[in-house]
Amino acid sequence: MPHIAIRNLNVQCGDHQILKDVNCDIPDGCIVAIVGPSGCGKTTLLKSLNRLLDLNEDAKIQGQVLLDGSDIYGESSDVLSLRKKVGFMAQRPYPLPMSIQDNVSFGPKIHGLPDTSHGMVERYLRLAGLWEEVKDRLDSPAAKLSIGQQQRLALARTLAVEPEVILADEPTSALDPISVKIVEHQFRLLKSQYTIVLVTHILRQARRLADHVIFMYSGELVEQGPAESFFAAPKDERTRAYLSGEIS
Amino acid sequence: MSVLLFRRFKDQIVTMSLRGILVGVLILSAGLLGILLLKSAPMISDFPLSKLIFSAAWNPWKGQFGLSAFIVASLGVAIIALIFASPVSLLAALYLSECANRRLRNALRLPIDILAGVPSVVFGLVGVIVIIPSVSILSRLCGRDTTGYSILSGGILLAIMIMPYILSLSLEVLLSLPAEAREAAIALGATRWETVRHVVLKRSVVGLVAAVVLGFARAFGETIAVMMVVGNVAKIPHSAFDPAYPLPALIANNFGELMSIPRFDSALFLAALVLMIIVGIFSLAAQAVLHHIGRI
Repeated sequence: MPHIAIRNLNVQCGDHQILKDVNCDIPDGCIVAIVGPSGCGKTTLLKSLNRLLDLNEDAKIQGQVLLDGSDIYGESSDVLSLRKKVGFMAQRPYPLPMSIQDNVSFGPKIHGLPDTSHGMVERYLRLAGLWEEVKDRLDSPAAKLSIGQQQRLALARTLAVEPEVILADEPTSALDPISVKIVEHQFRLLKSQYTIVLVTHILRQARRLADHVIFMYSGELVEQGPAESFFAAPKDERTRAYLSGEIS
Repeated sequence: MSVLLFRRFKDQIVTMSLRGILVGVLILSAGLLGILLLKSAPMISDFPLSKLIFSAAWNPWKGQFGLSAFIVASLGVAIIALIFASPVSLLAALYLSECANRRLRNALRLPIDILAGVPSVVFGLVGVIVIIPSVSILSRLCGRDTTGYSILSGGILLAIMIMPYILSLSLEVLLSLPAEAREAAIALGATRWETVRHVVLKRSVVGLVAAVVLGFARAFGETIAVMMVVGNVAKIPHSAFDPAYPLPALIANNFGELMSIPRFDSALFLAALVLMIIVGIFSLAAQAVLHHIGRI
């Protein structure tokens, strides 16, 4: 598993400073939750980890994100292989306009992976906890799935390119409670094989899932640490206020 | 209670007004079709419809009103225009939506919209001094010696006219696609082209086909500019360098003239009806294609 280190990361959009001098190390092989009130820069921090911020023309990025010691914003960095290594799940699932099976095999095909077989599709649909529900209609359009199923398909699609890190941006915020349970269960199963970085604004979810927590506030990384000590004994006044519901 | 009643009353008034406007538009369209049918009825009752549509003999003073030369000319110029304009416009729109930065995109949108609204007679004048001599030279290079007034000139001129129109419409379609669509593929490590091919085009195909169909309808019905360069000879063209006489030009050139010839006005109304029906058929065909794509 690669090690991710963020050094002096600043992100600016127009006149608005979204991330202010963020420094942290993402622990490997566990679930890291990024929490904080709306607009504090959680998603921006997450998207900076696989250069999805490049899609925003206004974003100016300074500082370093080191993946196994090399800067992903460096000149020699290859963004396509970075995104293969560091997968991303969006807040609202967006099925690619093709069949369920093709959604899973799309990534492996474009990256020229040797296995794009039916067996591979089944393996990743099982890993995402979706196989039993779709095994009889793999050729039907992915858009016909329920939103909870679409999010699990997005997980299968992300896993199929064999990433080492999974970035998930509030992946359960648009889902019904049963789908939330299934996705959370899959994340717990997957954390032994992947580093999972999860943005969530639901503190209960962070308590349920996270091994390590990062707290953001107004673009600053205020506090981070193992989940147990973070929730039991927060050090910063702002973290205490956030955990007690005084700021949201 | 009275507030609730008043709100319900307002709601009903708005619904009825909107329904009334829609009915008005439908009545106008039906009225247009009705007038064309009514005025072309004498022609249809006197001659078999197949003879009118498929015969190329156009001698009104001898009582021959075959429209096929005009139909072929109209289809010819519109198809040549689409062959030139569609790929260029769609690729330019793709470049602007997927590759160009926002500053360039915004800088070009206004001139494109202005070009889409330039009066066709202006294009016609430019066509006469630029396209006609160019096509004449091209014909000589191809072993024909023509004046340049031809179906090809009409097609090229129409292509230039509808290019900004199709470009502007397709750019709107592409830009209306949500950012998540592109992000879904790019996050998997897809290149820009892979994203365009597998996501952007598949998601936008309905709108892009609609843009091309609207471009076709515009080209098919265009009158003045085409009339100025196409030669206006009522014969079926056998090559792109031959002159031709599209339906709109026939109507515009002749209505009000030669009206002493029996049935002549009725023939021109029939030409207008055929023009309207062909555009309708193309719209329906496009819808059928889109329905089929949607089912896949």
